[in-house]
Amino acid sequence: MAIIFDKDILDLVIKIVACVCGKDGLISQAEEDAIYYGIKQRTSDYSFERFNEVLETFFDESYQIEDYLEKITDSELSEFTINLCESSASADGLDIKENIALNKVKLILGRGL
Amino acid sequence: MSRYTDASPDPSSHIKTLMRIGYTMPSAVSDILDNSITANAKNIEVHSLPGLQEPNISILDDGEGMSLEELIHNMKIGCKDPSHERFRGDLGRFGSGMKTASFSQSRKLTIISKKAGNPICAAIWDIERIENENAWCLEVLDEDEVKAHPLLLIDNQKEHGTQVIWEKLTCINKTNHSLDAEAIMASNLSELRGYIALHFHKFMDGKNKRNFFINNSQLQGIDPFMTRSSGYQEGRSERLRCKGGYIEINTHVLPHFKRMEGRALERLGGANGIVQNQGLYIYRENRLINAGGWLGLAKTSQLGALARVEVNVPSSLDQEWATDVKKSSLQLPPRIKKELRKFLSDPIKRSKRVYTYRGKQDQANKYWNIQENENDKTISYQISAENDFLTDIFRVISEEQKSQLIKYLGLLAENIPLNHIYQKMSESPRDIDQEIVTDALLEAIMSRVFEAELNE
Repeated sequence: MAIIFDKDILDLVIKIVACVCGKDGLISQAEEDAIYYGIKQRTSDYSFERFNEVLETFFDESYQIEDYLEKITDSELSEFTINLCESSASADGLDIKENIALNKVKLILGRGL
Repeated sequence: MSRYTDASPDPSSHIKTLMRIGYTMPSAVSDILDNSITANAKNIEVHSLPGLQEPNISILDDGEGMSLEELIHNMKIGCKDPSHERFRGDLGRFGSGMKTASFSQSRKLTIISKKAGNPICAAIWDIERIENENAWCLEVLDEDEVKAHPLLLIDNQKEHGTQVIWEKLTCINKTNHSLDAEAIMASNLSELRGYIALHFHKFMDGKNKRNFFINNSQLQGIDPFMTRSSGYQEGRSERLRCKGGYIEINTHVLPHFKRMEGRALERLGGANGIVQNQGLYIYRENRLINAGGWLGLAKTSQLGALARVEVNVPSSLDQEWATDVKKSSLQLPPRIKKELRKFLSDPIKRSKRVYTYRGKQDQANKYWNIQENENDKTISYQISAENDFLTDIFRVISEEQKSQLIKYLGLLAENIPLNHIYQKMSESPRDIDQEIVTDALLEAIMSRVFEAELNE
């Protein structure tokens, strides 16, 4: 049975995925829908309002992807994060910058290339 | 060891630079209107009365107004840091627009303002004084002087509002000897009317509606997408999340010129205007910044004339979009270019379809087609190219004969005696007998050929 993640942890995952999808400061509607869908699949009571707030905060923060990734220690969470990054970033086609960021996530979270 | 020395700009020279920042009269007035909208004005009036010895322009609003301290602060050039975040709906940017826009059109700028709970106040930038004194000396009027100002329009009973007055107008270009100041001003105001109606059209409708007037005549917004016209097509939309909100992209295809209502077409610049103004319509906080042109993303073409792509951008992205002081130009960031390219092909393709659509074609019989062109609102009767008999003839005759026959059939179709047919069909349809035409034609051709042989 899949572990239920804490909402604060999911906030962090959303920011990591936003780093991958929003490499140029923009997240498309298709990517946004895919992120929210992935989160809801995992935790059905995660509200859209909270999701919106997290993304708004993300754009105001100046952290690098590494700063978020270092807080991910659990292996199942790593797996979930990588999968969500992959499905969301490719929702409207994976471009080269997104691909580089995705590979970075995979490397740091231990899956390797 | 290096040292620092004061190299501040010379006020009398600096002001001349600020006067030539490249505003047109409509774009300069629009910069003032931006401030009125930011101040939540509901009614914005432009006044420029004809017949004055020294023409002037007044822009009056019923916005929140300013206290004397705020007015003095806002009269400073660059009173706001462009890198500071602005609240949603703030149309300002550099804190210089009001001054630079005013200096580009006039040599004397007076601002009169009243804020709720504060006395009416006024301050004046007079370029002549700046030049003479070589100093940024702002004139501040006392309350009695304000109330006695000859151009004062702010109603003293009103709680709040601001009036911007331009005097010693430089926008009246007197080098054109064929026109007097009044004629130039009338032409400027007419241009201004169209500019405001287009660039502020999103503020003239809906829940945040504001009223705009020029010399007491209310302006009606110009919708560049003609969304309420019959034949309008709405296309793909997309929202891109970014810092401070969303970039919204909507695609539109206008109805064909021929289906547009005359006045609406005229307001969009006629058929030529429709072709020239195809492209991107970029709005910053609902204010139109870029009206048409593909900004290098596609080529302007006759067939793409009806394609429009609307892009709504929040002011939080000013830095990335390189908005200039005039807020009349910007540069598309690379990622946006990439996103926009995805949207261009669809409206352009649909524009081509609308443009080239010839309407429906009906077959009258095996020999004739009826072509109804909905764009041109015309009907034409054409010889059917699908006819087997005609196809068989074409198979056996030479190339030269084919072109002769095509020419002849074309002329035949062009010269149907429609008026006569119409008249006779109305008066005595039973008298028309088309059964005998083949025999008559044969007889006539035979006798002509016979005569020609005899002559030889």
